[in-house]
Amino acid sequence: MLIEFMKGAGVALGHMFRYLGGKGSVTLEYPEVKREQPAFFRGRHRLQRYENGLERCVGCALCAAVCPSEAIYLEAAENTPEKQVSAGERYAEVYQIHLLRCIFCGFCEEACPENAIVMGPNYELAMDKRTDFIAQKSDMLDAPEKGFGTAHQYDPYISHITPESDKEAKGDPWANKTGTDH
Amino acid sequence: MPDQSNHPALRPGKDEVKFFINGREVVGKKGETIITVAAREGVYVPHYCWHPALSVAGNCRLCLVEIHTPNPKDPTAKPLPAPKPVIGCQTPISPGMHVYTESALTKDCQNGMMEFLLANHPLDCPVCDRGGECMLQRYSMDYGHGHARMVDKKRKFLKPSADPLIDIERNRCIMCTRCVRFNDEVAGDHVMGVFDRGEGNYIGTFGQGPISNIFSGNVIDICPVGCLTSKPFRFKARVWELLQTQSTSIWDASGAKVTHWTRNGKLYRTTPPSRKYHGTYTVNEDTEEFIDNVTRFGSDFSFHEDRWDESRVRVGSTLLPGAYSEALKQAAVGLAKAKLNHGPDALAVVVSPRATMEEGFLAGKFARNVIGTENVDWRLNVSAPDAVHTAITHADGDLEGGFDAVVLINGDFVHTTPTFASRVKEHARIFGRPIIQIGHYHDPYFAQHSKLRFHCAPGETAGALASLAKAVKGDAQAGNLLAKTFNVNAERIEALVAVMKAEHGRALILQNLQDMGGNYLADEVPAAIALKQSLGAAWRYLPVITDRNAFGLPLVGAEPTNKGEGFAAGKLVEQIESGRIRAVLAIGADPLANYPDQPRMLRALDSLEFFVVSDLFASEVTKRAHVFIAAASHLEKSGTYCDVEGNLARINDADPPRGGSRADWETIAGIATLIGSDKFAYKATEEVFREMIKTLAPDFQGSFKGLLLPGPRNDFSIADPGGARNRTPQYNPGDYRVDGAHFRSAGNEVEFAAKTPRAPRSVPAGQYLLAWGRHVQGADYHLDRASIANLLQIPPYVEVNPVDAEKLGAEHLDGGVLTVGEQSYAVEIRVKAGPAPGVIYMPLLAGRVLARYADAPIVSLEVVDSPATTEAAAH
Amino acid sequence: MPAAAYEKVLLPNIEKNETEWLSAYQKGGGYTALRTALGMTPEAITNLVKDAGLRGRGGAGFPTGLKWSFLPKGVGPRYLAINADESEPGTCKDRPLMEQRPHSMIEGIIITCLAIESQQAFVYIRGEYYNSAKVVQKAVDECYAAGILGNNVLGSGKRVDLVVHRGAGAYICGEETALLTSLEGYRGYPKLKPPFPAISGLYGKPTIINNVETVTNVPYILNKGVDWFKSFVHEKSTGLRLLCVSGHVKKPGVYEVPMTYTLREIIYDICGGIRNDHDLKFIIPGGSSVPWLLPDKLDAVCSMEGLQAAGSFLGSAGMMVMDHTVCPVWALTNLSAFYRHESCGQCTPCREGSAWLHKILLRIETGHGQEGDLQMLRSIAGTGPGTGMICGRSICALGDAAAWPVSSALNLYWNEFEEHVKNKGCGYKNKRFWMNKAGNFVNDAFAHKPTWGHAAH
Repeated sequence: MLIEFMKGAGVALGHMFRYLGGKGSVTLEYPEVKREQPAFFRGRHRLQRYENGLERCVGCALCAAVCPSEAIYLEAAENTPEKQVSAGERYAEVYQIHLLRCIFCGFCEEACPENAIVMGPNYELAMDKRTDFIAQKSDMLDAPEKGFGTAHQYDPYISHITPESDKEAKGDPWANKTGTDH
Repeated sequence: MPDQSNHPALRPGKDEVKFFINGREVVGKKGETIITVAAREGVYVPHYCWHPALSVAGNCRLCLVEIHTPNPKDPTAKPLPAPKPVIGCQTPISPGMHVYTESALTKDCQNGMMEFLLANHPLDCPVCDRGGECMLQRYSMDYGHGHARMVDKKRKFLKPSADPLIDIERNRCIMCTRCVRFNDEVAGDHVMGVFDRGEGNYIGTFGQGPISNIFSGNVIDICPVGCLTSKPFRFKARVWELLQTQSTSIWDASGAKVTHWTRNGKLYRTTPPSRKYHGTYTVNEDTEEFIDNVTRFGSDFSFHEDRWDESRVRVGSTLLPGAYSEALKQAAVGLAKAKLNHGPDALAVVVSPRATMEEGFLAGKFARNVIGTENVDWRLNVSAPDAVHTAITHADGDLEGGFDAVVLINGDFVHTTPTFASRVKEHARIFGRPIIQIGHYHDPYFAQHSKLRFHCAPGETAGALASLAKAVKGDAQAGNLLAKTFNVNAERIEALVAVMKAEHGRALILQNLQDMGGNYLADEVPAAIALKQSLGAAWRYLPVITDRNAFGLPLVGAEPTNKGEGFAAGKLVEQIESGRIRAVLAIGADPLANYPDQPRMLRALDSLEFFVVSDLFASEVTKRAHVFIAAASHLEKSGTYCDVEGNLARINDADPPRGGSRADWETIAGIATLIGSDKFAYKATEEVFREMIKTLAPDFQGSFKGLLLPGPRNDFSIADPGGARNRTPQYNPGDYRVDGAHFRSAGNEVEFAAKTPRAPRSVPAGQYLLAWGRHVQGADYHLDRASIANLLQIPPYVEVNPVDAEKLGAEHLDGGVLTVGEQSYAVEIRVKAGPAPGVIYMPLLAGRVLARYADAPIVSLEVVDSPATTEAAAH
Repeated sequence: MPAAAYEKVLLPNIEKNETEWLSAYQKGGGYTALRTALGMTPEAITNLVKDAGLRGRGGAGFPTGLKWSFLPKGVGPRYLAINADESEPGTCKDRPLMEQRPHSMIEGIIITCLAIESQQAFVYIRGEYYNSAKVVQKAVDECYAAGILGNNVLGSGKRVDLVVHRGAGAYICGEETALLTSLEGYRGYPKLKPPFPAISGLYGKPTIINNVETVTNVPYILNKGVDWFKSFVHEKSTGLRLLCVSGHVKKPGVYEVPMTYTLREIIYDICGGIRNDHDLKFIIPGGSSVPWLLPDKLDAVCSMEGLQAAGSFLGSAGMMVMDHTVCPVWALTNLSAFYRHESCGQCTPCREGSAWLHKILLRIETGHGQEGDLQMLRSIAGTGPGTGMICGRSICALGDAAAWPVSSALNLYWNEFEEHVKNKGCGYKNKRFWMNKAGNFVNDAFAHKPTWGHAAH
């Protein structure tokens, strides 16, 4: 009986001494230290911008359509020359994700044709109030952590198949043809 | 378009043709095209440019199919492949022909065309408003490549901003020219065309102006791609997010069916009825149910900020918001007290001309059973109530089965009942039926298709109709008189009489009940009915009027039975002033509408002892109420409407009533119950309807559910059965068809003799007689509160005959000043062949511009070159 | 050498370049055929033309007499429209006919009107042919003054009216149904067929459309007889034909030749051979839209059947001859630019296809070709008539015409195309030229926008 007890204490003490040096520890000092997440981690959503500051999201609502838990709500509006928000004609005026509804499946990320919504590494989802769980557009746009995903500049008039070939086709005198200004 | 003779509906002949689709033997009518027969047989042939209501253009080439024709030398041998694939939309079927819609060649053609169409199409589906109901998206899934081979720069056009309602994005256009053909053929307005050439061609409007006709919104629906989209709906929502509610127009008395698209209690758009299509309900781009712009864009008025969605009770001088039940109680108490003090005939119940039949029925029942008076009326807007009553109760015509000839009397039909007018024109145009126009105003909308047009002076129409009746009977003297009245030679009269005399299966006399030329209607209506009666059973009489439920409300007792009483044409004011009426219950009715002396009306309302209003908005009238009851809008209640043809149609609630508002039928029933009646215990409009219909049409077979979408459009079959218009299951799900019962007032066996018409007015030189009519655009104060009301309203304009215009020195779209008595109005002058020489036509815009006159006033018109007026009035 | 001497009848004095007005024409026996025709029944005239085997000279080569007999009986009025909208690149035969012998054409028109019992004829002259229109109008005025046209043709009591109409310079209006739409006053869009114009044409009435050269032949058939006409015969092609030879021959021009000559005889004997005695590279025998021929087909007879056997068409007989200095890719790019510009844009395959073909070709020619471009060209243009994504799928033949040269050039010069793609550009140095806005030829084609583009907007 005592021998068994000593055996067990030996295992525990062995582990204790092995990890005392900090090597191989599986726990973290959480609030101060945060765990690194893999690149494909599906954490809190982020909305991406282009380098020139324009929003990628054009408010197509495909994320809302594909969302299995109907957590996404958005209202679109039209860009004006005075207020150019996104790269297309249209932008999301209201973009909300109900994080209590969200199941973090990542469908929205996949459905997005503009690589605008990505799921970042942030897994801190504790809030004080229920209303805080409704992530507003501003919460998602300029969140501090970096998101993932690469995308090209949105231009609907260029086929996305071989963008390089488009640059090479500049010799075409018809290439820049535009209709008359009606 | 140069050729409109190849309309799909013209195709079917009598003989049966047997041929094969994908190896299956099918039967069609000689002259029918492959695409129509295939669709009827459940074989879908993709198409963009082909539209069942438009002529065949054959330019998208998507309906190319492989055909094999029988060997002429040996019919029993294997059929020979045709040298080329043929287009299904234009190729008539022939006996023994084999059509392959799924062969390798056909698929290759479809595949190739899709690649061509997408070659220059921008990849902006996420931005495009058509996304989700786009035929390009659908077909590229069904028939297209999975990838793009085009690597060159895409074609790009600059974006015009031609139309305030319709957004044109030419980069997305596939040049199917449906919009061009729609405007040419249905809207009768040659305003759109194809410009430039080859790959650079694009659609646009001539003069880069707006598409200014009343049907222009339909190009949004018939555009199969995202080129023409709705500006008011632009980017507001994606179509798959919206909830659809089948309903009917509350503006157009033609009874146009609509679908309201709502989300979260807000109306986003109104379209023609959506149909089941490839498994989902969408606005099919093949829709033939065209609606007018007022219905399309003017149905969202209930979201205006003026809306009072809480009932209010007057305390002292203010109206304090309160509970609905409290308001109802106050109303019941007040009305009961007024009845007790002054007797039942001191009370009046007035309902809106846009009230549902259920509401009209309950209003009548309330007035008679609970109050005990005949003081119930819907005709506050109507200036010639007797004539209108006579006309409505003698109407027996409809468009079912088409017509062989049609006589139009005095009317701006296209602005009174737009959809109805378009159907009349469509039938006449496609089948070459004669349109005869008589009177001092001819609708220019029909001008292209009506050879027989006879102008006469205002007031002479009734006499002319009487003479015509005699002339048709062979009275030569009447013919001469007619020639004199119309100022034409005898041959024209002979031609007219010949058409009237000809053997007709069905012919129609259409009369516009708008107050064209003042009180002449009192003579003209009996004259028109007398003409119909003298012409025999083939002829039917069909009057039209702007008021949506003008044909339904008289049926259900919403006007006094002893005709002549009532509150039409300002009688309400007179009766209040004389002290006969002490209390008024107004159900959505606006006493101010079209009443010339507004301060007098307001004074009269102020003097009322008790005034209950059930309405949507804060207004000069509702502010004077003792009890204001918040009413539910047409999107928040259900009910039945009757259109000018006598078809019933339902409005359906897309949303629950906003705030504390309630439907008007509930309000009437509630007040009645509170006063003490036990006959008003209704739980739903269905119960009201059942009771109502029991008295109306005991043998009515149509189910209540069927009333969702009945109507002339679906039942509009053309004389030849099996016509292309009998849409196939593909386009017309059978579950919508009901046996269309036509509701008409019964017992009209009175022989009408035309009254002796009054002599025409003599007009001093340089002056004109004014004729007017109410446009559907100017119908109502509710419309003013639609989100884009400013775009729907038409500018004050007058129409002048070219003869007069030349005398005046006026040109089309000049500015002018119209002087009526003491008052002057800045107007836009439009030179049109509509009004007779010596007549100026002006639309009456809900009392905004011109007050109502008892008789056609004599006016003068002065031309001013004021670019400001012209510019402001540009659309 | 050409087999036997023959009498040139259509343009006997082409070198003189003078207009033959009414008096001169009548002195030379003009309007005698009309007098003969006035004594004949319509059926007799039609049968005569049928017997002579006259085939349309506009391009399709449809038997003229047969076309006339397609008119439905007893339906009127009937119209005759003369297609003088000669815009096919390489074709220039109607212009000398109208400018030098307008009365010959008018006589043919009147006889045709008699044959088809029409009282109204229209001549639709290409917009750019300002001078031709002026000459024809003057000749028509002369005829009205002399009583040849009008209510009473040469005192016979028959009525023929002739209206000269100028187009606005669209190639598509040379397509017969587009010509009719244009004549009606609408946008020059080809109509859907069926119904064919013989049933429902101009203003919905039965209409015959003939080429200028076709009707000009009719008086000579009447004058000289069917046997004379049939003496120039190769299989089903009969009569003399105006051949417009252009390109790198020593003596380009319009030649009136019988249908029996071979290409070799025409190029080397009549036209004097290739310039600078270069090698012949390829021949476009019938206007720009037909498949090309290599020198190995030089012995093909230049008739409809002969050229068809060789793999091309006689078309409108606008023969273009190219020597070895010509880059076929550049030549083809130039041709497709024409079709891209002239496509009316009504139907999808031609509107999008012609532009796409040109875009790809221009890329290849300017050295921006990619792997797979040639396969793509081939899948769009096909490997021959009736294949590909355009051929046989457009409303009118313009789509076919845009695709045929591409498919034939790819068949003939696949290697050269491949080299263009591989070597990133054209190996034919200093052979390229283009016209700039001032009308001068410049070497660097793509530094300037072509004058025919829409750049002017």
